[in-house]
Amino acid sequence: MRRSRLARLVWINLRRDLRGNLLSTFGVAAGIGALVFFVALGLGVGEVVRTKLFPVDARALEVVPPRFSLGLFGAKLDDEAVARLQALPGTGAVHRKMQLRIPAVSRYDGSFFGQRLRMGLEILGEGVDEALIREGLTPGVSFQDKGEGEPIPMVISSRLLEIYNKSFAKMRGLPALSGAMLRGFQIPVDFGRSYVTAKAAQGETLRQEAILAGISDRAMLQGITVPLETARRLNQRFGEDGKTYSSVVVIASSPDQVPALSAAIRAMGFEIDDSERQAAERIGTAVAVITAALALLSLLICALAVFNIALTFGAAIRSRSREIGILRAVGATSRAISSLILAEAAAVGAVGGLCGAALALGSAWAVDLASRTWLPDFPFKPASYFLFPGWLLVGALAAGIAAALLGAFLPARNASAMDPAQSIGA
Amino acid sequence: MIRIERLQKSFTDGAARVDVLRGVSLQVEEGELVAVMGASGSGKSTLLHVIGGLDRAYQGTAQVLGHDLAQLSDGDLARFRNESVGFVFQGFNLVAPLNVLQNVLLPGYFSRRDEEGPEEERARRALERVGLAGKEGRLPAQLSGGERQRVALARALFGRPRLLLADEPTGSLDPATAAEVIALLRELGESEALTVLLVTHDDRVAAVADRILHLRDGLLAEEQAQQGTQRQDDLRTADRSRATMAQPAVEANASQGASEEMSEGSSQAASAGRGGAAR
Repeated sequence: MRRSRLARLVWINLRRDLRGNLLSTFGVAAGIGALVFFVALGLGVGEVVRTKLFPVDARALEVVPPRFSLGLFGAKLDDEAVARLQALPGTGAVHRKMQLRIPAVSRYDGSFFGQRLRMGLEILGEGVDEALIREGLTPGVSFQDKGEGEPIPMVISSRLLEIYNKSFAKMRGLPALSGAMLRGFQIPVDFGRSYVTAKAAQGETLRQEAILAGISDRAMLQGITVPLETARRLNQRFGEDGKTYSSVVVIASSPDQVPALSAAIRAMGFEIDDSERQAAERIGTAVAVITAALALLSLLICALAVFNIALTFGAAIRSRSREIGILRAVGATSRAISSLILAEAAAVGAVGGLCGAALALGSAWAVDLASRTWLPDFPFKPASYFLFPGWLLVGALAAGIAAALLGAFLPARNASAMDPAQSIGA
Repeated sequence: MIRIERLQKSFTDGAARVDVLRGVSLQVEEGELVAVMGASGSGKSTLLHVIGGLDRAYQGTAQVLGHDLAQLSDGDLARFRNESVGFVFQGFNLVAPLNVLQNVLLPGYFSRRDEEGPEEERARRALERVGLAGKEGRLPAQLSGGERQRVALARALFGRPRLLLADEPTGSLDPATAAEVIALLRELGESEALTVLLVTHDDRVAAVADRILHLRDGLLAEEQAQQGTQRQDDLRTADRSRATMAQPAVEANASQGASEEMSEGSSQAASAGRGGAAR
């Protein structure tokens, strides 16, 4: 049977039972719409977790010294170890990190973006290679240690800024800040001093200004990120270890190199700190489980739609048995009959799938609008909770067609098996 | 053309087995117009369904147009019906949502023949031949009974079949319209060089046939040939009736006198036919 003629017959047949077919289409649209809505919600929330809450680079491995070492024989993250890590097959780049091993505090008493602010807080710091946070640096700003007496360039975490803006600033009545507003922002830091450690308070302190050089996802969350040489200099000045690194970020040349590289690093006696990755995975798994549960609910609606199509098409086939006999008499094969029925179902499913996708997009837009209008601004609140990749919309169409074909399978088989002589006499 | 040998066909009705055809043998030559008569349930329609390839569950041999129908696959049998056979049924059997033109085009939807010119043009010509030009866009529900049967005739002829099977084609028509349709059927059969097998229980309709076969209780009870002269008389009677009835259907339906004339002529033909030479 030629496709153009099949399409014409399908169109004529669908129009004749418009009400029944619209009902079937609505059933498919409801099931597919719910499925697409919840899958898009899961994908959107997962995206927020991956990119905002725990921005994990799939190629990055955070190498740390072993938690339990045998003194002199334990693996140390020094320059020699860094060179060995750099030489491992599959290593793309190596970025060193050194914690500030001395306490530091900041006391701020002055105008803070138009408001008076007086506060003191403990400062945690970490020195890193510039290459690690380069993409977050303000253009034209240097990230080099210029020695004592000169401001220390610092980079803060974009997540920290988000938490400040959406939580701390609101509680304290402070203004929300953007990267542009913070350009050139300075705070005084007293190194070697602590509000909580009595020992440090007794010794010598060094005051230096820290100036904002950029905002990066890779900067430490709960402190300031400074040049590696600054951390080394300050640690050595206060008699702390300025030679070994607290961690080294190894960037694999490609994601598929990660397992082998990970095994090689462990063989060197180091550990890999994947606490952030694990946290992301845990939350990702929770999101996936909730999404799966909701998707299962949607699949139940789809199953009802399949059942409805089976009933509708079954009834239609019974009422059209004489017509099917006529088609057989004028030359339709049993296969042509089943193709005709299945094509009608596929059309219902395709329209249902498209309507379902449109329904899901509309519902997602409404939820996002409601969130923007009525929900308070909280940290990491996304502009949209949904993600609609192209494959999901194509999948909606395919799932709609598949559901309808499944429902129409038995009626089509029954129609193709009808005895033409009996059908004509029916 | 058609060779049927020891054809048997039975149905099960609950626990009971009903033998519809109990060993029918017959032969029809190319170009013949043969009427099959018999009471309701005598197996006339079943015989037609077997010959038309609509019914495959039978015993015996059915060779039609050189095909042993029992040996054809579902696809080949469908092609046989599509390309070689035209059906006309008592209940018209038009597809209600399709308009007149689409109904005539229906066999073309399933045709596997190579294109021989625009099919729509052929369908229009077929409608012209049955006198329905200008009614292509109407739905079957908007036509009279006679017009519907003409559409069915046009559909049957659309595929240029060699065999036309008509199952009680006038069964749902008033006598006047029936006469019209039968005259048209005969005329088309002759002009298209068709072999026509006509099932009827109406003597008047059977009168136009070259031969009349009588089925009784699933068996071919008797066969009668219509003498040339007598058949010509019958045809003239049918033509007279047609001429009288060739007017709008509503008017024709009311023409009781004409139908009586037809009835009378047919009875004469049948009684004369019975005295004719049997094959």
